Amino acid sequence: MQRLTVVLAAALVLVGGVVRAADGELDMDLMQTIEDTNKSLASNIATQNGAGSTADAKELQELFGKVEAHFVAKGGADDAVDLSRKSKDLAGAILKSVAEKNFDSASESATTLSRTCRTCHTFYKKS
Amino acid sequence: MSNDSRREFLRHTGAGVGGAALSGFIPGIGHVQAASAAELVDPLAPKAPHFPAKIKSVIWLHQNGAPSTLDLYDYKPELVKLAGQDIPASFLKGIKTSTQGGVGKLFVSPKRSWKQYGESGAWFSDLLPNLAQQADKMTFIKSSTTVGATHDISILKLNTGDLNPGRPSLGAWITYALGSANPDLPPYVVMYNGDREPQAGSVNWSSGFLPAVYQGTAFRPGPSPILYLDRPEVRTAQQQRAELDLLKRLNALGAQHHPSDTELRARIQSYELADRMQAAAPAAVDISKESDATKALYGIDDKTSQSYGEVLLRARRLVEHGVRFIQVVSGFPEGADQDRQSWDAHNDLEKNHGLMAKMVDKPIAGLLHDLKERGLLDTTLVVWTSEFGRTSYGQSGNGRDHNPWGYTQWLAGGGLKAGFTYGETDEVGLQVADKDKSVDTYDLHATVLQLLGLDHLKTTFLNSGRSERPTVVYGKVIKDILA
Repeated sequence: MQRLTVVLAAALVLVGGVVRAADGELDMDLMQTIEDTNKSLASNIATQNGAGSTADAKELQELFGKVEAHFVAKGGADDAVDLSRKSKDLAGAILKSVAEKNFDSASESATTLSRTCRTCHTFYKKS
Repeated sequence: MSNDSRREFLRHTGAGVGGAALSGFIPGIGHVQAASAAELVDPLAPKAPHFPAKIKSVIWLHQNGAPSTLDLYDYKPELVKLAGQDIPASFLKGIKTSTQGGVGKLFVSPKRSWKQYGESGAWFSDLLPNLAQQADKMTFIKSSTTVGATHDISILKLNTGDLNPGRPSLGAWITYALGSANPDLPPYVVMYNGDREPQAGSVNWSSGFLPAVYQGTAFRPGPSPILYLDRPEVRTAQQQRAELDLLKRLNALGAQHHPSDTELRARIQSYELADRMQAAAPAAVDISKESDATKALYGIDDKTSQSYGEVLLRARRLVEHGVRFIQVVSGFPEGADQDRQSWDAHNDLEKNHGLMAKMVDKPIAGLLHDLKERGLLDTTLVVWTSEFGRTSYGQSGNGRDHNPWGYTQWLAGGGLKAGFTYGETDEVGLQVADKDKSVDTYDLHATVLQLLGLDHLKTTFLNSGRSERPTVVYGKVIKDILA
C-alpha cells in the first residue's frame, strides 16, 4: 500500500510538471528566486560586499538564461527573449563592475536590471 | 545563557534584531552600529546631505481617490473625436482591464473645455481656472505609471514604494536621512481636510522598519490641529517640567536596559518634542493673524475650498518654520455627499470633479503664488500626486475607472525646469506613449530625494542584515526635468 502511494505521488508530480510545461507558464518558484536574489544583490552592492554581490549576480545570470530558454522554446515572445537576454547581460555588467570594485556602476546596472524585470512583467502578466 | 549575559552578548555584537534596526547608514557620517547610533547621535539632529540640496522642504499633495487627469491637464483631441465609440483594440494592447460592468465607450464630458496658459502653453481644463494661471511654475510628468490595485494598496505604494505595509514612507526616509531643521516642531507633518483621518490610514506615514522617531505626526484639521497641546490650567509650567524631567530619567533608565527599543526612544523624544511644541506649534499653525487677502488667496473665503485652503496655508507656515516634509491628503468640503468625499468618480464624474476641483483649485494656486511671492518657491518642492489616474473609456455611463497605465502628476519649485512637460500618454490618454519615459512611484521618490541632496542608492538602512533603500530595488532620477 505504502509503495502504491509513493508511485501515485511520483506520477502526480510528473503529470503536474507536464501540465506546467504544456500551459507555457514559467515556474513561479524560479521567478520568486529571481526576485529574492535581486533583492539580496541590491543589498550586497549597497554594503559593498564583493563576494555576496558576485554570487548573486552569477546566480541571476544563470536564472535569466533559463528564462530566455523558456521564451525561446515557447515562441512568439520576442520581447521576453530580448528582455531576459538584456537582464543576463546586465548581470554580466554587474559582475564586471564588482570585480573592479566599482559599486556605483554596479548599483546603476542593478537598478536598470530591476526596471527591466518590471518592463517584462507589464508584457507578460499571469492572467 | 542567562538573560544578563545574553543581553551583554547582543549589546557587544550589535547583532540583535533591534541592533540591526538601529544600525545603518547616516549621510555624512557613514555606517553606524546600534549603540553609537542610539547613544551618540540625536536621531533628529540635522545631517548633511550627499550633495548640495536644491530644496529644503517638500509639500506632498496627495489627491485622494485618484483624479481624472484627462479632465484636468491631459488634453486629447483624438479622444474628443472618438467619444461615444468603442476603444480601438490597439489602445488596450498589453494591459488587463477589470472594469466592473465592462469597458465602456470612450468618454468625454460634454461640459469640458480646454485652453492653453502661460508662456509654456500648458493645457488646462475649465475645472482649474486658478491653477492654470500658475502654469509657468509647474513641471508636468504626463507619463506616470504604477501598479493598479485597490486605492489603499496603490496609495501605500505611492507613499512607501511597496504594496504591503511595513516599509517606511518617503517622508520617514527623508527625516531619517536629513534629521530636523527645527527642534521645536516635528520634521514630518501630515495634514488632511474633512472630518476624519484619511481612510488609507497612518501606515502611509509610518517609519516602517526605521526607528519610530522618524514617523509622521498627524495634525488634525480645524482650529486646534494638535490634540491635547494646551497645558491644563491646574498645572504650572514648573510642575510640568518637573514631571517631564522625572519621566525622562525613568525612561532613560529603561532605555539603558533595552537599548534596542526604538519605540521607547521615540517616546522619550516625543515627550520632549511635545513640551517644546506647546510653545512653538500654536504659532506655527495659527492662521488667525494672516491677512484677509492671504486667506482669500487660499480660498478660505469660500465654503467649498475653505478647509483645504486652511490646510495649505498651514503647510506654507510649516515650511517657513523649517518642517522638512508636509504630507497633505485631500479630504472633502464640509457637508459633501457620501459619494463625493474623494476624487474616486466611478460615476457622475462631472459632479464629483466639479466639487473636488473647486475644493483644491484656488488653494493650490494660492500656495504656489504665495510661496513665490515670499521667495520660498526656490527652496520648496510642491508635488501634486495621486495613487493612479482614470481611464479614457467610461464606466457607469458618466464615470471613469482606475488607470495605472498612464496619467499626469506635476511638481513645482526649486531645481526644476519650470513650465516644462515630460512624457505623454497615447492619443486617447490611456497608456504611456513611450514606455522608456514611464515614471513610476520609485522614480518620483528618487527625484524628490535628489532635489533634497540625497542619492536614493546611498540612502540606506540595515534591516535584519539587509541593506534597504527608499526605492526598494528600483528608482531612476528623472534627469530631464531637472534645471
